[in-house]
Amino acid sequence: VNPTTAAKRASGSFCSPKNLTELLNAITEAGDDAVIIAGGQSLLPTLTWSVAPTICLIDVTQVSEMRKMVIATDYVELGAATNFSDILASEVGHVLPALAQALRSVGTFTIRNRATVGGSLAWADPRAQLPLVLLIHDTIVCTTRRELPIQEFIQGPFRSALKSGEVVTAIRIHCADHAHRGFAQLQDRNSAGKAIVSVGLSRHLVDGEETLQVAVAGLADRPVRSPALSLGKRPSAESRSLAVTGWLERASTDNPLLADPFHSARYRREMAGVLIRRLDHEVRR
Amino acid sequence: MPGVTLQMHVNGEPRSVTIAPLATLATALRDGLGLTGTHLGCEEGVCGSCTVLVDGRSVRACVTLAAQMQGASITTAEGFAAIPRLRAVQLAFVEHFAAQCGFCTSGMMAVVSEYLADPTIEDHAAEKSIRERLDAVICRCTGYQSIVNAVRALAQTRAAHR
Repeated sequence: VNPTTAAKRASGSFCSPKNLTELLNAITEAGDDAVIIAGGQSLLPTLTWSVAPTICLIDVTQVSEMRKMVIATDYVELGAATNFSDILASEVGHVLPALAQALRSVGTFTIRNRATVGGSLAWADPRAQLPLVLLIHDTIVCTTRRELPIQEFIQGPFRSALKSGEVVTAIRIHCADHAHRGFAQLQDRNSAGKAIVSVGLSRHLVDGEETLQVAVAGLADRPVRSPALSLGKRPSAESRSLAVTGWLERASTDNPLLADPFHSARYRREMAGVLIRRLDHEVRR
Repeated sequence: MPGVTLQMHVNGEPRSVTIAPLATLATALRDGLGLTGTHLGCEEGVCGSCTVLVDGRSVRACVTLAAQMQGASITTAEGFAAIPRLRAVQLAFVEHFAAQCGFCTSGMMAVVSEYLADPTIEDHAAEKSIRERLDAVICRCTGYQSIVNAVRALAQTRAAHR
């Protein structure tokens, strides 16, 4: 069946609630048939290639509470329906440069015009840049039912903590901790903007005592984050490197690994190490 | 089959079309309105051939749900000739042989016109920034050089007129 025919044959329904109350009512009404759609950049190919006769598409891009963007002195709140281009056009990049760097790396300009915060989190692609970079920030995910830290939200490949009928409404990132953060990624030329490996790093310096925290996507079946790696005072280049490679090895034994014929698990781990070393150097300059 | 009735401004004209809830913008434009200048390549958001302008922003019509486009203002390849700024893009593509088979051209022109209108770009004629933006559309024929030439010429002409 060609996709156009499949999409035509499928029926179902569509609604576009304007606020949270309308959204919750629509979800209750649709029950198990509810499919939440935001920008649709990852969801639509899957939907149009499958024949799903009874789905109720619920558009969240018009929900006013989910379109907010708040840039305060100590936190940034991004509504789940805000798209990456709008975030990049705002002042968010000045406050959270690593986040902006990660968002600029997603897909292409055209994709970023539609891709949303909530969509990326709910889709939970193990290689996605946004969940990865949020792991090295102090991030809370707000849903229609609760608030939870990003590390608890991420549950596995294409799996989040969202329960049936629960929708991400916003993320809140605290940014008053004076840490230095960075993001870097490795792409191949046919990647269409999807990183093979991407890394995030945050570096805290308190009374000369240094701690590093790193996160990697594209290594395991979900983005993984290191504990705070204590480096002590004036750590040598060797001890910085050892702390990171030691964690990368542990992360590689503790999690199911990603691999494809072009990028083996070992290659991904090596590249993650290289990217982290470069980023560490960059962040310290 | 329950349909969604969509009111949009397409190439400057109010249009109404009834579509399936799951229909993409590409299907609504091509099958619903007969605007076949929007070309479907990969149908999964990778190749960029189906790119159109929605309220001035480039959007992949194959991964955009038509039902979400209620009230939107859409410009497709068919509408370029009537808008001087977009007509200039068409003429530059002709002048610089920036189209070969033409399959990606409508998408490419949408991306280029959005790029040229982007106020955050410091130098629109800079090769690096042109090439970075053109990554949104795959061209299998030209090797991109002629397209880069067309965009650079457009940017330089505009800068000279400022």
